[in-house]
Amino acid sequence: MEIAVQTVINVVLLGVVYILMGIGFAFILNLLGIFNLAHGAIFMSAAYGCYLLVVKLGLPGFAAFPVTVLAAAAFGILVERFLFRPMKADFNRTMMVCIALSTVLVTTFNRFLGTRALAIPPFLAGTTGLGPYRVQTDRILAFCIGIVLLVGIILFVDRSRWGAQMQAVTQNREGAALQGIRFSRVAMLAVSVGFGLAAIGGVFMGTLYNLTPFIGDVTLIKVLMLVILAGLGSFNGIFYVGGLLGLLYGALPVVLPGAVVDALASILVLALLLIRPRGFFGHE
Amino acid sequence: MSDMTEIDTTDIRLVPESAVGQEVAQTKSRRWPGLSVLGGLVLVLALLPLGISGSYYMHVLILTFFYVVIASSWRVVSISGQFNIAIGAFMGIGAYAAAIPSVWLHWSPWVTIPLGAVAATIVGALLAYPFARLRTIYYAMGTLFLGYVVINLITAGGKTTGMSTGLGGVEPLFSDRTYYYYLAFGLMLVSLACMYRLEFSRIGVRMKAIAQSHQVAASVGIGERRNRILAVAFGSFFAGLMGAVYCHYQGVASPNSYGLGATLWIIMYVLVGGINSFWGPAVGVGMLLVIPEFFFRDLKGNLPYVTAAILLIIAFTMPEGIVGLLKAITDRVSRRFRRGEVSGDAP
Repeated sequence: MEIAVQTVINVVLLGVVYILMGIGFAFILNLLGIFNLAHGAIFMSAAYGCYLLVVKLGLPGFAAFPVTVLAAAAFGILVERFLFRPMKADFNRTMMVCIALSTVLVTTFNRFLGTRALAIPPFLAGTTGLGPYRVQTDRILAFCIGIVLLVGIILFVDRSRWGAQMQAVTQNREGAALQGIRFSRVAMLAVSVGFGLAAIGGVFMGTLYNLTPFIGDVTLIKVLMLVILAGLGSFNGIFYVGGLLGLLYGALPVVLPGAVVDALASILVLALLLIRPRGFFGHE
Repeated sequence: MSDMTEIDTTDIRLVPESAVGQEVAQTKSRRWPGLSVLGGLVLVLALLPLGISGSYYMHVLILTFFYVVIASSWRVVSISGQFNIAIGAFMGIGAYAAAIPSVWLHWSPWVTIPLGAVAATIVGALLAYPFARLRTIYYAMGTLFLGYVVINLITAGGKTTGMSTGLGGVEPLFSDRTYYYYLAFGLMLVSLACMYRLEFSRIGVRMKAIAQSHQVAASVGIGERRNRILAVAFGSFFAGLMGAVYCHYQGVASPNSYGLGATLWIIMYVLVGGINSFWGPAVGVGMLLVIPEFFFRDLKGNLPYVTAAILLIIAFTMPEGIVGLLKAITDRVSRRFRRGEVSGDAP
C-alpha cells in the first residue's frame, strides 16, 4: 500500500513538471513562433544552478529555489531581447540561436561539473508518517508546492491581465495589437515566464531524481510529446495532457518495464499525430 | 519556414520551361569561374592523401565527405518544403541494416552497404507516406518525434542491435585509411552529381513549387504527396548509404550518432552554409566541422564554444547562410560591371 501513496505523489509531481515545462514551451511557440530547442537546456541549467547554490554556497533550499527561478526569468528577458528579437521570428535563424544557446549551457555544465549524476540535497530531511505509511517529507512538501503552483499557473493564464494578453496574442496578433497590447512586451513576458517555469520544473526534478547534463534532452522530448498531444495554440489542453502524461510515466512503470511505457507513449503520439495532426485540443 | 504558410502568388516561379531556361542561360555566362574553382578543389582533394596520408587530418576529411553528402541529402528533402528532423534516423536505419548482417551473418561489406542504402530508402518512403499529410511546424515536430521513436526501437532490439552501447565488430572494408578516403571522396562526388541533377530537373522544380505553395502547385497538376515522398526517399537513400559506409569505417554502429543531437547538427551544417543554395551544405560542413577540427583542436573540451560562436555569428549577420552572403556580394559586383558595359541596363 505504501507504493500506492508513493505512486500518487509521483504522478502528481511528474504531471506538474510536465505541465510547467509544456506551458512555458507553448508560450514561446505560440506567441513568438520559436521552436525553443533550448528549453531542455534551461531546465537542466536551473537544476544545476540550484545545486550549486545549495551545495557550494550553502544556501538553504527555500532561498535557493526562488533565487534560481528569478535568475532564469531574468535570463529569459535577456535572451528574448538580445537573441530572439533580432531574428525576427525566422524559423531557421531562431533554430540556430537556440542550438547555440543549448550547446553553450550543456558544455559549460559538462566541463565544470562532469557527467556524473548529482542530486540536490532534500529541502527537508527525514520521513513523515502518513497514516500507517512512511513517506519522505521532501516529497510531501514538493507535492504541496506542486499543487499550489498548478493552481497559481491556472489563475495566471486564465484570470490575470497578463495571461489574457498572452492568450489574445496567441489567438490573433493583429487583433491584439488593435486592442493596444504591445507585442514586444508580451513576447518578453512569455519568454521570461517560460524560462521561469522551466526552472521550477528543473529544481523539482533535481531534488526528486538524479541530475546529469543530459536530462534536458529527455525532458525536451517529453515536452514535445505533450505539446503535440495537446495541440498548438491550446493552453487548456496542456493541463489535461500533462496530467495524462504524468499518470502514464508516474504510474505505469510500477507495473510495466520503462522501455514498454516509452514505446506505448511514443506510439500513442505518432498515431494521434497522423490521425489528428492538430492534437486533442488544437484549433486553427 | 514561417513564410511557407502564406500563399504569395505574386512571387511564384511556376512556369517550368521558360523559367528554368532563363536560369540556365543566366548561370551559363558566369559558369567558368565557378567550374574552375570546383575543378581545382577536386584536384587538390584528390592529391591530398599523398601529403597527409594516415594522419588525423585525413580522418577529419573522410568525416567531412560523409557529412557533406548527408547534409546535402537533408537539403534535398528540404527543397520540397519539408523540414525533416529525422534524417539521423534514416542514416541509422542504413547503418544498422548494414551492421546487423555484417556482424551476425558475416556478409561481405559489398553486399551490406547497398542493402543499408536500399533499406533506408524503403523505410524512408514508407514513413514519409503518412507524414506527407503534415506541413510546416507540424511536420518538423512530427519528424523530430519520429526520429526519437526510430532510435528507441533500434536500441530496444536487445542483443541483435547492441542496445544503447551500439553494435561493435562491424567488418572493415579496407585496412588502409587512404582507400577509405578515396571511397568517401568518390561517393561524395557521385552523390552530389545525382543531387545536382535532381534539383535542376523538372522534378526539382516541382518540389520547389510545392515548397512555395502547395495549393498553387496542386492547381497546376503537381502531385504534392508523390513529390514529397520522392524527396524523402531520395534523401534517405543517400543518408542510408553514407550511414552504412560510415559504420563499416568506424567498425561500430552506435545509436548516439543517429539521435536528435546528431540530426540537429546536420541541419546546422545546412543552415550555416545556406539552405537556399546547392553548395550550402558543403560550405557549412567546412565551416562547422573542418575549421574547428583543423584550427581549434587544442581547445578540446572547449570546442563546442567555438561552434556555438560560429552559429551565433552566422545567425546574426548572414540570414541566408554563407553562400547566401557570397551570392549577394557577387551579384552586386557583377551588376556594377555590367553597368559599366551596357549603360542603363541596371534594374
